[in-house]
Amino acid sequence: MLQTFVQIVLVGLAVGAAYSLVALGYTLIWNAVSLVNFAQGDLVMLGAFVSVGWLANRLGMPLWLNLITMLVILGIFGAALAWGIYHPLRNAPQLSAIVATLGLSMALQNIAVIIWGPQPLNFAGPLGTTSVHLFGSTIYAQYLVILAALAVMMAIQHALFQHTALGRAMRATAQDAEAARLMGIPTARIIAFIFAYATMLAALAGWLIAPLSYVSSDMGVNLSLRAFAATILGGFGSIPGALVGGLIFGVIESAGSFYISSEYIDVIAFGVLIAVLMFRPQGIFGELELERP
Amino acid sequence: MLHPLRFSRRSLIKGIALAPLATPAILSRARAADPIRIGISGPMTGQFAQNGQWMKSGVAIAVKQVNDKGGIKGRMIEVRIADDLGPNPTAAANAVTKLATQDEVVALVGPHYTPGILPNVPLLAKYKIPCLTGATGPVVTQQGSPWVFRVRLNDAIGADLLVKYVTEDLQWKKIGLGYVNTAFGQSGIAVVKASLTKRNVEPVLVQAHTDATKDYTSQILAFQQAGVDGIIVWTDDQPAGLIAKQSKTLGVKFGIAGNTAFSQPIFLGLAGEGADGCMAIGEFVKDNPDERVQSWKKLYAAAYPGDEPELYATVYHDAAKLIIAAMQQADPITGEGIQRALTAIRDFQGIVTRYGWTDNGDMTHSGIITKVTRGKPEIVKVISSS
Amino acid sequence: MTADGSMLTMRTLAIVVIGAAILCGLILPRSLSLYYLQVADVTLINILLVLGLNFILGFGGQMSLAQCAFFGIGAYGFTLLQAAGLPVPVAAVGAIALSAMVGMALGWPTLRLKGHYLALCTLAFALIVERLLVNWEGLTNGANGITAIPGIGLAGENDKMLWVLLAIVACAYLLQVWIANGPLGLRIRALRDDPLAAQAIGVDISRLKIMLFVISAAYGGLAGICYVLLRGYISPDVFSWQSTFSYLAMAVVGGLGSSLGAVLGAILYTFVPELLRFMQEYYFAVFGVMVILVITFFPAGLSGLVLSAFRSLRRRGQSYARSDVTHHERAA
Repeated sequence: MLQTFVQIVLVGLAVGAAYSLVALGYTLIWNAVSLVNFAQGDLVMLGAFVSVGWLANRLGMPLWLNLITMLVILGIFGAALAWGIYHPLRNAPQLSAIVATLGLSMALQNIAVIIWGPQPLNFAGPLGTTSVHLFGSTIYAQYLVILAALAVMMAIQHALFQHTALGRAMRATAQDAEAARLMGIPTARIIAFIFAYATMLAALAGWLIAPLSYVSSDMGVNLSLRAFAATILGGFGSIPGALVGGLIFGVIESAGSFYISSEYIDVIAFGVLIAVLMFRPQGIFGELELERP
Repeated sequence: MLHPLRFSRRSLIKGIALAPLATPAILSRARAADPIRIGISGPMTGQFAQNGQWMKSGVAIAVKQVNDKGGIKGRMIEVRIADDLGPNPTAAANAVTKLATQDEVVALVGPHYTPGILPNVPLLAKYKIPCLTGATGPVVTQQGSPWVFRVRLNDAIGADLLVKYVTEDLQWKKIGLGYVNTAFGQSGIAVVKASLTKRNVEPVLVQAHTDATKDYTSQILAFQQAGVDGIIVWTDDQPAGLIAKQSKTLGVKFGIAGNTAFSQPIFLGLAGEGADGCMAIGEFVKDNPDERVQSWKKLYAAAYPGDEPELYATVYHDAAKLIIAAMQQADPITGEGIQRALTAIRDFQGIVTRYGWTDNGDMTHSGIITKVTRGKPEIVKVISSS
Repeated sequence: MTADGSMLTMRTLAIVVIGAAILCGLILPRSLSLYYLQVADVTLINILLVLGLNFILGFGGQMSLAQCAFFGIGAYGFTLLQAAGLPVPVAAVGAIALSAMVGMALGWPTLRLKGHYLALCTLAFALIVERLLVNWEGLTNGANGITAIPGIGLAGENDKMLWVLLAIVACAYLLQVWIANGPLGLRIRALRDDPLAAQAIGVDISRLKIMLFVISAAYGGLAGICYVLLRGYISPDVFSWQSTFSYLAMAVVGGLGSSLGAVLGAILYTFVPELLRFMQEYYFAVFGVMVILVITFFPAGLSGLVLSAFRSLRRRGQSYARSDVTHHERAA
């Protein structure tokens, strides 16, 4: 009984770690440019497709080179997004920019099918289906890798924002781009960098979760939704919030499905989310008055 | 702040301006040398696009064959394709209306999904066009529409045959059920439940998932805890693959049987070693030694080098063959003529099976039970509903 | 923003809108094929949905993503009430009331939520409604949906339905303008522009927000009824949570807070993909890029474009009428 419980929680944490990883991307872009990028999940998909569809299946690259090359490609793509989509819309109403990311999401999903075909692609990753035994339960080793990657990326993001000149420039840009520009901060370049980094983060998530299931054009859709839920649950814009929100949401899904009903799992998980927001409208770690004009 | 009143006059102008934007259909009566058009309504974009691609490939081969031989009574067959986005009633109604009224097709292949067929049942009657679908939900042919023909095994029959097999041949006593929470999975598992009840077996546990479910640990553990002998799963290819793969990883002992997904290439690719032992009720496996299947494989590989046929390309190839056979009997070649000719088909040898029309529109009456051995689905039993 | 010379009185507007509807009713069936007529019918239903969304999102500045849920509640409510033997008008009123009540039930507890929190909460609600429609098989017949709904016997009659829908949309459009211009409209705009100031001058913000939710939901429910009348078939797929983003995009592409924008956005978003069908598997990719381009070049929406074109024409004619209205509009 207890062993089953441990297993359910472990899997929930592991699945939630993937949500957290994507949620970090949301948080990053939000903190930097006050934009909710609804295409964040599709960048996860894009990273996985570039890595599996091109680098692994076409070029047969070794895994480490595959990962690095993919991150470079997606980083460039992210910077291009900053220049092509965010930059022209930086002064537009927030909702307009959100709808632009919805258009981007639609375009990316369909372009992925055109380039890589509609059939799901398989990717073994470095570990394949290796599983490990932990506290008497069985779990994919890949899940532990995701948890580890999450910890590392979170630490990097925290350090980057709080303790480096670049991070300070990013925060300054986020708070008031015009003032930051007058202070001599190259805001356009900073923003391009932020987009590149957030895209790489999403792509890394794609690379990490691909071995657990498969790569398909719609893999980002539900990940986006749940990562968005995680971001809100944790408190919008909060890095620990993104982490905790994702993990909690993963555990709710896993335990709710096992102990209550798999049929009504979405109703349960999102019902809990609404209930939490009723009592804590700013999320777990959120500050009140987060809303920006 | 935008004031709504300000634009009202513009709205009028826009409304009128829209009219010429959309060009009216040019209604012309077919002449003898005009091509005959058949339509494909299937998912061509988005997450279900794979099925649409298979539909296209299967139909194209059949159409090319007949056109190479001079067509039908001197008229070539032309294929028109419309994207119905799969299980999307609004898009499917638009796609079928376009094919029927704009492209003036005389017969339809697809829609492939139950929620794509159902909104079109009245439209097919209105435009007098028969459709041949591979949607397996019992509800499809329960509508009593003379225009809907089904070229795959009705789940009402298939699920019952599978239950009979696992309870009688395999002697499963404690059975768990799993299904994908869509029209397809829901109605499939309903038949399984009814069939179990008929045999005085109560499922010990029922679990649902969606196409978005990527981790089945909690579901598999729940089945294990319930101590099932085996589970019957009605789902799509991808979830089927993940369930088999993760069951293997968790080292469970129970058997897995399900709908045809558990014999298809996407499932085999995803499940890997986990596929071994999985059983499915279906109609077609490419490794069938039967001579018809083997020559079809060659034909398919010649048309699409490096590719192998699977169920859907094959079934919809047969569907196109059935339409062509009906056209040869129909006079004149209209939707109504083809519909009448299709209802007259009693024994048509296709690649998948021998098709014969019965009252409700079902044309397939036998299936195969397969079991995956060393990565390949092998036929363990051929069964017929009669 | 006050009225200027170009503004029409309510009565003139009513004549113009009704005239436009009658003209569309006369011209469209003659110039459009059956297929495009059907697309026009779907467009009209989408216009209703976006007009509804306009209340809460455009006027109220509250980011609700629940419009698809109200669409579904209206459709299922009407279908089930009709199946229970109620006459069509009663079933319709009942369905709209049901939808409005659910709107209130969602609006009240979410009062404290702002921005993205409200967006997620309403999206979660939409997802829950969709799952309930799928799972509650005894009531909704599950994912297979409900077939052969009698409605008013016009299912699939695209030309006759066009008249019905034009009449409904014209009324809904006029009602929105009437509300927006009336005393309620003033309070609504005060809420959006500066909630604190609005509260200070005695606007009951909570009541107003709930009211917007209710009207928004009622429009969504009405659209659901229209869908049933047009199709005679409903299934949870029609009301999927993903579809809510299309209505959001329609509202923004058209121009937030503008009734005309709702019309333009719905037309663009419904017609253009159908017109692009000739591109086969490329058409949705192309359409996605088009959405980005439209937003990039007209971030205030298409109605803003129409407006500024109209303005510049007028400005050329009357040099004294120069104003900085466009600047204010961007700020809005």
